[in-house]
Amino acid sequence: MKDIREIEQMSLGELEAEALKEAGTADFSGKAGAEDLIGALARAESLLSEEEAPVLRTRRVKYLMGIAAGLALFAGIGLSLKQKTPKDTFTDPMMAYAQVEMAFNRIGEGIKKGSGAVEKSEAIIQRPMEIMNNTIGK
Amino acid sequence: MKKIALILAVIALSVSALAQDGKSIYNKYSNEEGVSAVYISPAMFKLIGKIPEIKVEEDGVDLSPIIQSLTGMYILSSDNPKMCAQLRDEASKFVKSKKYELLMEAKEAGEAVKMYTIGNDKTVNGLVLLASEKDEVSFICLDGKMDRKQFEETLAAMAK
Repeated sequence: MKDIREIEQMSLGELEAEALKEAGTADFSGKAGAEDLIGALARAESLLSEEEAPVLRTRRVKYLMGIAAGLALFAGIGLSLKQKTPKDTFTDPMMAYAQVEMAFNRIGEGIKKGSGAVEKSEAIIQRPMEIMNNTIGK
Repeated sequence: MKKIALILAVIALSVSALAQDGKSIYNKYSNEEGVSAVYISPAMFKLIGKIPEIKVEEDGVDLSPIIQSLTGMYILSSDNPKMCAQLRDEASKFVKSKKYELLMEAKEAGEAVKMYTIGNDKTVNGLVLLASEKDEVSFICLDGKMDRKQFEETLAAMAK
């Protein structure tokens, strides 16, 4: 029988071989034999489960991470749904309309600025084009 | 454990980025000092569209079809330098995260105006205007279901 340090240093294959060897050499006839067999199997199982521990730990971490990610997702969705609807700034539709009109004027100003810039750049482009056309024409 | 915390933080950030919209920006800044805020609800837009005496026309441009298709309008404006910077950043993140398309950008005399839209070939589901001056920022966000053709025609008429 090997001591615990030797067992700890053994690989999975060695542990299996050792367990099988022990099972093979034991006398399993009679009641004492059956107890020996159960004991050997239990030892082999415990040795194998010790070898599997890191795999199980990794699986458990992955499982926990999955649960945590799911919880975070639900919390995020919950928070976004819980977002309160703001209160109307105006109770009078006429006042609200005046504000909408102002907003559209602002949008219109923005568009005018954009189209103004386009017209300016067109004029800038036009001048060299005219010069080129005149040069080619001559 | 550290890995789990990191993953949670990343997920929480990405979920919050996804959840960000005109409403969330409005809720965040509307009560801040130095920020003026206006919200018009879908119900109010329905009322505006129903009142017959409202002449929904500006400079010969009929805004009524657009106004009736709006479901919300959020306006934020600030001259507080700290709020201006925050609002500008937040609005820029919002249009990026929601994949708004840049409709136009104009820079003139220290003012930059950017306009973004979101939708498809037939419908415009939102318009965002972000106007930044040296000491003032304005954010206008329109939500709705506007017919793209009508929307573009109105914008073109407004530009004349």
